[in-house]
Amino acid sequence: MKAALGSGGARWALGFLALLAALSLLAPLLPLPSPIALSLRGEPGPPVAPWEELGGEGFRAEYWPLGPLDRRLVELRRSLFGAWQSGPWLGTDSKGRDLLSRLVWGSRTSLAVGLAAALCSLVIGVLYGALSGLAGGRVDEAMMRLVDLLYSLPFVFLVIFALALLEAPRGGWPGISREQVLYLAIGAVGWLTMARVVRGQVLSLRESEFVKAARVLGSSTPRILATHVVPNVLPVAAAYLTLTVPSVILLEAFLSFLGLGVEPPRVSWGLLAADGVSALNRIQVSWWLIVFPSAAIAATLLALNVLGDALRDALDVRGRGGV
Amino acid sequence: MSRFLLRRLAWFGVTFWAVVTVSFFMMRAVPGGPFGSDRALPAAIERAVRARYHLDWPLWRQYLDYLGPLDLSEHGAFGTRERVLGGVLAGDLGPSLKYRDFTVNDVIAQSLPVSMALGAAALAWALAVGITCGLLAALRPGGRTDAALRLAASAGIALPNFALAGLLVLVFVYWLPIFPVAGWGSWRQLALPALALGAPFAAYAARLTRTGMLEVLSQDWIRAARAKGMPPRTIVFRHALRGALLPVVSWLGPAAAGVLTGSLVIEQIFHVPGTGSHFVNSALNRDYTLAMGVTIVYMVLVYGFNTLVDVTYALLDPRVRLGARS
Repeated sequence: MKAALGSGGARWALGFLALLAALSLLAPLLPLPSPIALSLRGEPGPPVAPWEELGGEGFRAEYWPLGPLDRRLVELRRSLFGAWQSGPWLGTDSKGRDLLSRLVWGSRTSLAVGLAAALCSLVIGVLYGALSGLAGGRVDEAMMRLVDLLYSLPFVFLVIFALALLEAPRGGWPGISREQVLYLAIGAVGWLTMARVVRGQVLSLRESEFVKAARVLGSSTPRILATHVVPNVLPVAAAYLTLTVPSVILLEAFLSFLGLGVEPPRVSWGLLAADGVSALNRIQVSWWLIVFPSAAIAATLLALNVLGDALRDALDVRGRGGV
Repeated sequence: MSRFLLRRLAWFGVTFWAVVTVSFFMMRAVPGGPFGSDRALPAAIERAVRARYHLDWPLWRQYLDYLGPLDLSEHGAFGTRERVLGGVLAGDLGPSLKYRDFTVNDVIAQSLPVSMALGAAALAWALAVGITCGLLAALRPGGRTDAALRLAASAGIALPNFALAGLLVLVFVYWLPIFPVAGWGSWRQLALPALALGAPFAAYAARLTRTGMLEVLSQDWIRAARAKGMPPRTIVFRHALRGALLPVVSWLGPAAAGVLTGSLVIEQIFHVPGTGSHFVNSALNRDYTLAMGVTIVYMVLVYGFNTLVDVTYALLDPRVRLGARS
């Protein structure tokens, strides 16, 4: 871990991600305008620098249904800042909603999707790969063929197909929201690479002295798995996880952009980027609606990629051996 | 080689069958069904619609009818009603539910060439630029060109194609009116979508080429060639490049799949009448047969392309033996 953070880039990336996580967690507490409060001016407003207009009164607590913790934070914000809110520092969109606020609230979606999918892929991928590697022989062969089969599926198309089915006129499958299917679908397929990597690791671990010793001493397979294999595999899994997360965040933005992800009034970066593209016209070129969401997505993905590469380089046995 | 191809074909059969079967039953499991509409139809009309599309048959019959190469109705097995929902194995993907006058085959036949042209243009420029840049960077590792190109590649990988598309439209359509905003048919209309679609792949190709080239250039036999006094140009282009491009070739399969996926959103932004935009619209419009047909066609394409890439890989690298067990 220390070796990974040795490079300056990785340190910057980690700092940026920490800042982003803090911003998105504390979004209800910040003195931002409401992300969905409409203004009567029906056109996008350009950004106003903070030194020109720092902010003003006029905060309205309009949100989609929030969880209990977020409601508390909003109350706290009210007692701290009253009706004061920041100015339109990044501009407003075509319905007069504040872009900065929407970006900060939208980051919650991206981070949540990333975390949920990462968790899914970690649990399923590590277990599946470890079991497959440990079982060996026919079982291993069959389990890996299944992974191959899933790999060759046009995954994005199947997810979109599933999301379309969920939009069925009479309510789709009861009790499941589109967002939940999104999480499930992403997590369910995100584990494939993880399973392959972990299996490779386990195959080499299996031949190691200490696992053989444990087997000779009569440990059961689940016990070997839990006490010897999984702890040794986790660092590598963590490195691959940091590379899975950006791809998942990208996928969510992609689906939201197409109108198949998060549903309004909730926001997500993909949705904001789509709004920006659809707001383009010859009369008013609202560049801020395209530039800022793109920059937010790109910076986050870049930071995650840099961090993932650094982690992988630090953990890669080949790399560390060096010539 | 033929054993390898045979095994690939067998696996393809299994995958194909699994996808068709699972999507078919998922499609039918949806409450309301593919023909449910927002307003209730009179009972008689609904019955007629259901009979027309054979929804009154038991599920297994519908399944066999959708899948089968055999036209069961022809043999009188299911009475005299004509087959309407197609037989996938016979190459018939059925009618489109939204474009009432078209079959799925019609829609795909019209739109696939457009998507293929866009994808080919994107991949072609991505490979040309990516490989050139990777090569330039690898010749002077650590130099200023290398640093600049690495930065560009990182940005290219991190910037999603739809964000890039928005930025390109902003700059080249509104600020500098060089290109038309959308549409299809001319070279100028092709430029922006192809640029946006190919950019991440160019970045990735550059990275792969650079890594591959650096690895090959550090080999002993390259050093031997240098020591022998072979001109650097010959070393790089005749000897090193072939080995350095192997990772790029094996990445082409996933890259082609990625281009097809990426074109979903690019076609949407630039209003390109390709298969991708039809697919997204079919998903939004609940046109299940069209969505499923496109999924099937893309699966065949990706599978075919991957196999082609593997064969090419073996031809380029004599060390690879296809079908050999590791």
